Amino acid sequence: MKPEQGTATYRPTVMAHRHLVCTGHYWSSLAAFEILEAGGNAVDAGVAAGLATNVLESEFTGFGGVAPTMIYRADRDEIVTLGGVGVWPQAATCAYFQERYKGKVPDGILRTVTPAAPDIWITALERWGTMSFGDVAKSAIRFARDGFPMYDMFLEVLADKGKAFKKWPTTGSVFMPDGRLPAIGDTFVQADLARTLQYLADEEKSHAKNGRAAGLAAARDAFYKGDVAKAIVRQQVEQGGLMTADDLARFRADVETPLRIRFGDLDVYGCGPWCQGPLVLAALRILEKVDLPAMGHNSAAHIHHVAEALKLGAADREAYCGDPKFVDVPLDELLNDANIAARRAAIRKDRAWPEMPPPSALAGRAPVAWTPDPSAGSEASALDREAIPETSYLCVVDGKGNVFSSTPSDGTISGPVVPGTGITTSMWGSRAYTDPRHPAALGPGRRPRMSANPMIAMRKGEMVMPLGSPGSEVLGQAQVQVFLNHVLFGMEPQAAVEAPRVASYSWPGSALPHSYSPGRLNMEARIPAETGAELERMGHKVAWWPRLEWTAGSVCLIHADLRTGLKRGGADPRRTAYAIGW
Amino acid sequence: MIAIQPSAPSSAASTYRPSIMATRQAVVSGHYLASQVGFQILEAGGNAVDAGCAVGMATGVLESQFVGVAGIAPILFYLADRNEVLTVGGTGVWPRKASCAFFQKNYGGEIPIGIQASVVPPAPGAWILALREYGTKSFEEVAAPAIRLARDGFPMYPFLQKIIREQEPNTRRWESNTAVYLPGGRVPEIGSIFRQTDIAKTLQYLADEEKAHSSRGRKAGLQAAWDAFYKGDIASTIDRYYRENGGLLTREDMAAFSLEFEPPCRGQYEGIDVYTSGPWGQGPSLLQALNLLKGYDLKAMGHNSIDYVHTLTETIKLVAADREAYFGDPKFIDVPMEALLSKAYADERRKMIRPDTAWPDMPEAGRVKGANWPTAAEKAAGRRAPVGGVDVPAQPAERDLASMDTSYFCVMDRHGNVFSATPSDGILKGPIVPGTGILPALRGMCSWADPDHPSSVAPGKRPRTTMGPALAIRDGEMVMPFGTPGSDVQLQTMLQVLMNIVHFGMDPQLAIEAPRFASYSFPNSFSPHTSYPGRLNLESRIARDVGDALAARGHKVEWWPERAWPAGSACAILKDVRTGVMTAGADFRRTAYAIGS
Repeated sequence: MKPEQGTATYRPTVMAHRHLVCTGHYWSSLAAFEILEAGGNAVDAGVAAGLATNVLESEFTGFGGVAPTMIYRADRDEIVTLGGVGVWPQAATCAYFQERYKGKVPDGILRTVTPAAPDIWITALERWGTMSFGDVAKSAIRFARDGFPMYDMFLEVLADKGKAFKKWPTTGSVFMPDGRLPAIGDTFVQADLARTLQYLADEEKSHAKNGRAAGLAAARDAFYKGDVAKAIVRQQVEQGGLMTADDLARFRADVETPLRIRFGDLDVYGCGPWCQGPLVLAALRILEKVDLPAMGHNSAAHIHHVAEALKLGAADREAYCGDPKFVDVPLDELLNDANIAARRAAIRKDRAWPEMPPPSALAGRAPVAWTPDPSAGSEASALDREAIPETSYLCVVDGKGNVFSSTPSDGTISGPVVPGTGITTSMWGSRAYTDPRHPAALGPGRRPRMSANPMIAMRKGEMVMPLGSPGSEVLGQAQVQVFLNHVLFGMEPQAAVEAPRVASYSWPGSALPHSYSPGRLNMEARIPAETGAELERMGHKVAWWPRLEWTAGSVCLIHADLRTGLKRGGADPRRTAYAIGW
Repeated sequence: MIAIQPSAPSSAASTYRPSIMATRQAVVSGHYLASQVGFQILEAGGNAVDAGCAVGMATGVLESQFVGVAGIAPILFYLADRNEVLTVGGTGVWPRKASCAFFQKNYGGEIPIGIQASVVPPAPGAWILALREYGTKSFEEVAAPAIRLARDGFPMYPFLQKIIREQEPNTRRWESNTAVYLPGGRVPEIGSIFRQTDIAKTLQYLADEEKAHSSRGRKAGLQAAWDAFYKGDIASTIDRYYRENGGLLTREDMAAFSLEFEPPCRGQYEGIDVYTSGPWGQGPSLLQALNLLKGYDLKAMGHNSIDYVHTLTETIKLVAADREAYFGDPKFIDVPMEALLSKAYADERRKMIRPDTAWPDMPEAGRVKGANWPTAAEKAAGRRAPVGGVDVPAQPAERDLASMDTSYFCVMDRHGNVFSATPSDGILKGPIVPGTGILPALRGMCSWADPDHPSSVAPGKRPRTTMGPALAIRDGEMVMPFGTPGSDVQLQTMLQVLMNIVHFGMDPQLAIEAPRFASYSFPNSFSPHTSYPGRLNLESRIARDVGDALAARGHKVEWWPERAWPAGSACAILKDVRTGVMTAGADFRRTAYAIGS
């Protein structure tokens, strides 16, 4: 008998002709699938999956949290991002934190920004969906009310974060109701969260006679002006937070046009400079003109070029990127041919940048040089379990070629739960910079700069391809590698997702304390040791991950051929991501 | 209760697929679309039997390389309200014209891969019987997804394409096969739409006949579907083709076919009742193996340790010897099942397991009271005692085309009913009967053209298959259907998965992904029944020094890759009866997929 490997991948590439869903949890995929089968479009299904994710992965995402989303409506040929992160309260200023906290932003209530997810889910339905909030929230409400079986990854995060519950008793009472860790398979109920979602659905229903839009508006108001807002404000007052009823009432997530680059014959869309969209797009542009296939997949040369391109992109993020409504981000200059060529020239074939490279030199610009916080930059803190990455990713492509690509984050588990609501007000202030000269400095109404970056690539009328991942600083790096695996190396979606990955930690992380490990390059152990040795010789500080590392991201990718209708989905074996199609 | 232990904290992913947990219902099958089919039937209010029949037929379309719509369909049911386990021995019977003499005379005592090996195809009957007695939906309703997948097609996937590519020369022998598997004369591209329109027509014909008779009630409709297959146009078409091409199967054989429910075989291990098929499959071998293993502290040996692999391998060889000597259609031969499954017998047989030396080939079968030993006169006439394992070829053959098939699936519904089935007999290995899309099961290859063999060829007799759909129940605590494809490896895979769960605290997904091994040191169930004395295959995730130590004990160690698809594709759903939570696992060695909610 000839020895034979099994199937080439650990999971099949799921192929379907009608529609396909890929999310971070198999029940979220089912929730979305049900909506599609019931006639909903990708946006209806995506919101259903997003809400379900807020329940099933409340260790990684929260209904009170962030949810950057990109939507493509095929019939209108319209592509938008919903700038999925909330804004700082009016009272939040750099001076406030400088004066009181020596520039630090203490853990807990002072890190709150306005919740973004409810507005994003509702806005998506309003403008690009077809169904009611109540219809798409049905599964999520059931999962919260009746519970779901506790699973290993959730439990692992819970065991880790549980240490913080002493200071956040309301969070403890949601996640460890009996004061101890649940067991795998125990039914985990989030009754308050179910009530919150149901309250929005009920408010919608009571206004439904005035039409779908009025119903959705009522659901939004229920959250941002109604009982939920009141509960949030009460907690803010009690715990010394800065957020007011006014901050909540005036919040609307930004609907924006995504950034676009060309890669070969593809249009690749990323989110704006409020996240790591520009980093990912710059890295792809730099790498487009490097002959990676000639170097061989995951050869030392290949990995070196990818890592250096990412570091160069990160340097510009650090120097220039922030909320574009408040800072002038020179995106055109950063991404134009001349600058990309200059950046590419900054990659030295045989030598790694030992730290974060300098940013792009742009005429008339004097970027603030980033200086590491001495308490932040240590090797240990970057590897600390405190830095457990949050976030999930989900994507849907429906039969009409509509796409929903979303990266919800901001685990309910990571802050003080608002009493009686089951939600935590977005903790994305954890992405704060209190130096007013920093492009991502905090300030009233400003969005913290986050890492999430849902993407869509397409060849108009021929193919669409949502692609994303959780993983904090690793997220964009995973996206770049999987994109290249599929587009340049021709791997099937599942193989592209499973291929061994690397990640650089050679730039300050988005989250406090902005950890930084100069030169560090993590690699999954499926990459040969010799490759690692070669990279070491180039100056990379190689750190080995296990063969399949769950902090290396959890990528979902759907490639939809619009001419044949064939959709192929890949779901990452590194976590619980799951693809379902028909 | 079986304690499932959380994996040790580590940043490494613990499994390559999540353990799918569910509170209402779960389906695991060999293909993601088949799982989806079962799940949709359950969501539409169907029970496990409805869903199981739908998955079974869809599997015959989606995995037609491994499973035939007119293949075999051994099923194990658990009916929750009656707390009863039943089987349908859907393995088909030999035509009336079949005999040992026929194969001895024409084929040198082998059962060739070809239509001469066809038995009466039992799968349609098995699905219809199951539906009639314990289902709630019509044939049309449960066949609709399979019909749609066959008629409208599904995306060609890499594993199917790989098999088609490997079998291309064989496929080209028959025009009807070439038309299906090599459309336009080429191996289909991955992602292209793969249609099997004749299968759709055949299933639609059954559904139409049902509809035409449904005014007389559900059962009359199902009977009409049965008759459409076994007595109508399909039987006639098969009859004509087989007469013209030297097959044995006739329309009379088809018309005379009947199926019934049979009680399962039951064994006990660590307080768990394990149910399997009867000796028409290899299910009871699993029970015998469990009996033998009762004498060891497997946990203390350590998972996949030298002693562990050795002990399980020797156990497998011992039960294979008895399988060879005693197992066959219990309607034709007296299988001393009670004795074979007795504690005393296991205690006696266990002595043959030598802790540090491997049997170089298959050991002798045990002597069981009541076994059909030859009389002195018969002995003089050359009749062998039931020892088996005599056909050892000098040259190991290439992997058997015939034994390379089968799928497995299980369904658990919201009432707690279970459907556990191991359908088989793909249509790549023989001629598709033109116009029907089907190939009557070539299951006769699991017989011997030797009248002394318990699984000899005889009219109306069932070949002894490798099929072993199983169910493990610990009263008030757990219910777990499990199984796998993999021919003679099936039982070995199932045994290892069960041990992983019972002794090593693994959840089903981890238990399924754990590295496996398999012995080939006994006659293959498929003609020409090749044996590979001493051979032991190990997945190369098992430590090299474990393999070396096993070789030192006399095992002929051969290394598989890290994940070997001949090591099976196990599926399981473990329900914790007290919480109602089901945990499903699907093998990452092939395309198996779990869905549950």
